Amino acid sequence: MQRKRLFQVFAAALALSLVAAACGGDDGDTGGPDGKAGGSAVTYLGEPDGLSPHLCGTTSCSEPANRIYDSLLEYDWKTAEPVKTGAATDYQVSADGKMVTFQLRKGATFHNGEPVNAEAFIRSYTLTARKDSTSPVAFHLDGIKGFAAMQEGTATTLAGVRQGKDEYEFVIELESANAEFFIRTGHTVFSPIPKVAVKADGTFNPAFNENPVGNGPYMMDGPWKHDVSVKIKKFEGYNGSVPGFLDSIEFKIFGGETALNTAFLEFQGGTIDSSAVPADSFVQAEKDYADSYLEQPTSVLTYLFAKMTAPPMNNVDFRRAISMAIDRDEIVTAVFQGKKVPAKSIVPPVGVPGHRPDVCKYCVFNVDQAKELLAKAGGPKSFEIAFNSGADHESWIAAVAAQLKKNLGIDTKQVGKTPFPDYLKYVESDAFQGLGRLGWAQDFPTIDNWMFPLLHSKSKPPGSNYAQFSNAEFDSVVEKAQQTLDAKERLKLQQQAEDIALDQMPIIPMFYGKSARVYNFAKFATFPLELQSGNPAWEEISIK
Amino acid sequence: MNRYIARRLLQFFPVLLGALTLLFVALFILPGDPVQALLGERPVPPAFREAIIEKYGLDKPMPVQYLRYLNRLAHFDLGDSSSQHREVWTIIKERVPVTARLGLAGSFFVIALGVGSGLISAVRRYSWSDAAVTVGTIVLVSIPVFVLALMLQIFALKTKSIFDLPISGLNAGLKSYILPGFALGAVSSAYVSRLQRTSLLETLQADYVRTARSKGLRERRVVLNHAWRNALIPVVTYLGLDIGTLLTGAVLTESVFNIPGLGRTLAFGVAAKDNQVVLGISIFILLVYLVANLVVDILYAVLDPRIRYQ
Repeated sequence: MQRKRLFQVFAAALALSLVAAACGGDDGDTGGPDGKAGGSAVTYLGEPDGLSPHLCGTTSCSEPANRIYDSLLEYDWKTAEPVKTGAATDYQVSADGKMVTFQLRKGATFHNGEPVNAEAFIRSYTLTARKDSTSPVAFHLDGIKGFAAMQEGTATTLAGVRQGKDEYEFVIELESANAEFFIRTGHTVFSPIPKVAVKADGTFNPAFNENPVGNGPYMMDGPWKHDVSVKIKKFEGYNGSVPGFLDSIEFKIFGGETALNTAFLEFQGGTIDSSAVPADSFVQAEKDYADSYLEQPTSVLTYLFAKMTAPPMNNVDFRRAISMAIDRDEIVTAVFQGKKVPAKSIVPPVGVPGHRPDVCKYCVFNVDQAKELLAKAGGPKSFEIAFNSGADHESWIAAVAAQLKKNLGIDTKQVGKTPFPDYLKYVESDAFQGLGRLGWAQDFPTIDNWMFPLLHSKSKPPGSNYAQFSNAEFDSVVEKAQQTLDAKERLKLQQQAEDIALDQMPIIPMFYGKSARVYNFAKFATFPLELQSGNPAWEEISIK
Repeated sequence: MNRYIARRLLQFFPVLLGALTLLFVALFILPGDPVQALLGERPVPPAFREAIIEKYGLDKPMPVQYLRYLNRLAHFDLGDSSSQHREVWTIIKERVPVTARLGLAGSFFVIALGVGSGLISAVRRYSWSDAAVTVGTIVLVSIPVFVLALMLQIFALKTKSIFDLPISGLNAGLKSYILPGFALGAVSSAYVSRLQRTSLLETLQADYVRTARSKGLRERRVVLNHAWRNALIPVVTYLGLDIGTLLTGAVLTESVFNIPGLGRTLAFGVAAKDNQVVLGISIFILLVYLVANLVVDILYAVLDPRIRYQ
């Protein structure tokens, strides 16, 4: 069903920057302090869902929005780790993990001269959390004290955000301990907004969405022309450490089913300087633009979850057997012509610090071992695979079914449901007891964002734990990690959680997406991509 | 004549109301969750769903929602777009000129190519030009608009140094409408061409044409001033109906050529379950259709003095 939306949210999403990578020869060095200032760029963009921080949920809007706004922290484009080049110069997490204090950069102003102080952040988060703002990204603020009351409509002030000892100190208080909460604050939704964004009654001023005023190194150069373009230019009053090199950037908006196709044609014609590449043209682009072709996996995982509440999926050996009987490489080659990356872990190979390759031992294709495990499980001869139809999953699910039949002799009934909400209702119902297809795109660059929302027992529907995974050891390790202040210790615990999950196989990771970009090699000195989002890191890009 | 026009204008209202009702019911019955549509495959937080339902009154029964919509419509309020976060009227105002220009460009090609080639092939029946036109029209009719548009884009890319035609978008001013206009008008022009040819051939057999010739008038005058005026009537009828094709074909053309027009916005609105946009644009298109057909009917009277209205 919503193919356009699916396409936008997943296909063009998150990618790797580390450019010594598989293809071209570009080594992606940064513009660095020696980059030449000036010049302009024209690039491809999908239509943003909104340009106000509380309306921006996809990479189509975050690409311009992350230039217009400085969030509290930023994500390092090379490592996806949170760094202090945003609006905050420093931060402290309290010993009990329930409070984060940020010191804001003094003298920072919005593009209209208003000061970027604690009040600006309070204003922004309050607006986002308000029920009548209907913000699709408000859930990122979940965990802040008083958030629930705001969402229910019983409050219009957010209890957990306040000024610290002066206007340049901003404090966030949480309902329960989460030592990692500060990692979220690199997301666009944590950006501040000026007074002009809200009306006197506290509701959103819609004109702000058309011509937003931010605190980042670039400002709007004219209002947003829906479905046509977003133009930004350098903000001369910016006092941050990463002011950017280019003078202006024009984001040309392409929409519809053939958006990438058209954009790529425009790139070939020389009317835009950089474009994403449609999957069907990966091979051609790699050949024709060897110097500037950047292909990477995305941090969007497609997986099959096992409904663990009833047989056969409540048997761990059965789940392991299924996973080992699927030849992911063959599916990627035969069905996707290499346009996907077989999954060998839950945590994606890009966009998250702490990924470990090949940790999923049950993701290895091994028919003999699979048969052994199946015998041990004494499993049934058939079960159901459900998926949302009309979203191009038919062929690869059929391939999985064929492999299971061939390798294990198991028959599977493939059930397609549409539209998507009906599919979700179906897999939640008691009538369904098999494997279901789902996808997950990360919200923040942390392993916890793959563990807690997908597999913690508290995340069962209406959350995303459709597998109904409920493992006490897993839960406690995840929670302990959330309360661990030391980053290295926390990472170890999170990786331990991933290990538990991969041992129990409540979800069977299938593959990650692939995305590719091309850019005008003759024009740009460098063209780094953000690790966390796959978007070009525009502040680092300079012309030759 | 004036009474006729006035009566036709009054007929607009029941037609609009009827169509609006049908559309409203259809949108209501169609499966699909506008809340989920705003979030793609992301799980919908219950608080968000509640907030959207409250904001757009989605939990009210259909007749209530219908009457609320009519009430707003009576105050010329077309509502807010849930996918674009701005007023539907603003969106329509922005996009009407674009689709209008595209429609004009398309119509230009339909008339120039269609009527022109039909005229030529009728006058030079069974000649090489007639054969060429026949083959050309069959080819154009067989290619889906979508495919034709994609082919034209590649053509633009390959001939960039010669013609410098834009591949997509409206950045090159009026030149941007050439390829999309051609794509839009191409299929219709094929039909018009055949229609014109047949109609003119028939008219050329008529008695009054023989009379004109025997009076000694030049052939060109006979054809253009006498026969063609009558041969145009079926063509004009077809063109009036074809406005619909131009507008709906515009969806595909606008999509491929990345032109922000009404058609594409309507299609996106349907996909996003943005009912306000769908209803608003549909009403507008319906009005255009009604006016266009009225104009066509008036044109009859102009073309053929025998047709007058009581």
